[in-house]
Amino acid sequence: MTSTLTAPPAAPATAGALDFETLYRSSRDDVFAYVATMLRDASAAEDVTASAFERAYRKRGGYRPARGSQRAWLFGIARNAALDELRRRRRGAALAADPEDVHAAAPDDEAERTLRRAALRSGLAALSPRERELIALKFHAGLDNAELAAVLGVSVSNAGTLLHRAVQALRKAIDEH
Amino acid sequence: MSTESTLTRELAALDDALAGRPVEPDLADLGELAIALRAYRPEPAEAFARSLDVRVQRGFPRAVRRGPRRPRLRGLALPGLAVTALVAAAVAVFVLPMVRGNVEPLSPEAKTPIALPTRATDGSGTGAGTGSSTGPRASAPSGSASTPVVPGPLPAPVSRAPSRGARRSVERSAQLTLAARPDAIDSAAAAILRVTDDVGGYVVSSTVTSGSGGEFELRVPEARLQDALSRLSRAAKVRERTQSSQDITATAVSARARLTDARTERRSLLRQLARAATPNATSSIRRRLRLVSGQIAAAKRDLQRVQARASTARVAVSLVAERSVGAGGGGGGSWTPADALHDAARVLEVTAGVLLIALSIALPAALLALLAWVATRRASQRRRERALDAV
Repeated sequence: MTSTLTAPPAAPATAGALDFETLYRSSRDDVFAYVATMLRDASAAEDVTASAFERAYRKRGGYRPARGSQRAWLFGIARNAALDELRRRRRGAALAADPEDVHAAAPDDEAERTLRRAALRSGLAALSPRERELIALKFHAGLDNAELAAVLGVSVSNAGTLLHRAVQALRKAIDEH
Repeated sequence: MSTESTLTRELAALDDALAGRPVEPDLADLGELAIALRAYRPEPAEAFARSLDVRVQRGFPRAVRRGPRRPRLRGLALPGLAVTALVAAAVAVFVLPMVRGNVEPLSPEAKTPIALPTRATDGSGTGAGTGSSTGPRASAPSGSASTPVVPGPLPAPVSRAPSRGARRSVERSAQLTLAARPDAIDSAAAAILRVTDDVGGYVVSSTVTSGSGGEFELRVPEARLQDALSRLSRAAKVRERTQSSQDITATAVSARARLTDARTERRSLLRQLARAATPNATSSIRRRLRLVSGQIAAAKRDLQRVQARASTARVAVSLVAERSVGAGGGGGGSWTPADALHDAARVLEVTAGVLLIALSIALPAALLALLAWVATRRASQRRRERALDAV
């Protein structure tokens, strides 16, 4: 999904400052994907995504390149917004029902793909929130291991280990499906 | 359990699959999982994406707030501010007086502290001028009183109000520090002696070193004390002037009572002596008369000493040499470049002192605020992380 944007009126123009428009364009869908996986509620994910971008816009002057990439900074903000939402609702992944799979195809059309999606859904649902967050950051948001480590506040090697464990847990959950 | 190399290989395979690079055959299923996961990711609805684009375009305009704006101080901010204010107050109350160090101890005679005599520095000349003074202060019944030092004529320190029908005896004293240029020390010393003589006083002791300074212990009639101080203040530049008074009425009354008692006893003994019939009685009365006569003499001496203390005032004068006299000084010296350099250094010194004091207040306050901020941030993040464990 793409869209054409003009620069916000108050966008920073100083050299070296965060280019919010570019960051927004490149990260909008990734942030939504991450937040939706965390919350497992598309409607709430929209609110939180919008809130995260607004927070990032207001705080854009506080971005320091030395402390990580722009995407890592943005996903840190998105993570805090998602966790705030989880705290507020106290339900998060414990929804009464999983969100509808918008990608589901007709059974007689692509049966194999549908089965695979179902296996992924159930596998992700079986993961702990922390494992699901790692999967979302890596595969849905497209963060590399260094960015993932910056978002979670751990070392890169530790982030790799945690990610590996999450993938192993997901494979096991899918196999048991 | 995966070994380190297995972990590295599998993570690399995930990255390769996501980047579209070929994956090793034995890890093909892992690559397929990575691609499937990416394909499975949730996508935002078109309507939401469009509305968010518009908000970004407009720079996230704030909603118009209705009602009074709520203060943004939350969490630990208010307690932090309170602690900061307390620290600043404590520093101001306890540290600043120590830094200034200008609290003057009571004079030895002042047995009952009524008010701390304050020192005042006169930088405006001879001191015979326009200084203001605090009003008279009531003293303790048997104590002393001190008057804050100001240049110029001062009202005499006020002691306890005399009781009905009784005349109070008050001993007065004054300390004066005068400054003169080294070449004017001798003339200032001569002026001090001349003033003492003029007011009918005398010099108990004096030490003068040419070009350096001197010390004078003077006695002047109590009634001429103010006149003497005023004239002494014109002899050189007044650096410091302190007056104090001590009520010695009790001492005087005691000496007078002992004298009266002794005289009464002597008259009684003389009458007994006139009636004495035997040599033994006569001898006994004469012995007692000799004792009483000694007591009368001692009481007289005590009374005279007390009366002398009340009728004359002690004046201690310190004459010091002044390295440079300011432009407005009474020493008559001109303001030289050296004086300017000295004054500039003094200004810098005072400025540095003020900055140091401000820093001593601001640094702990800033440290506390920083600690409060860090603690708040950490607590907030911990609460957020707990949300992941709670679901």
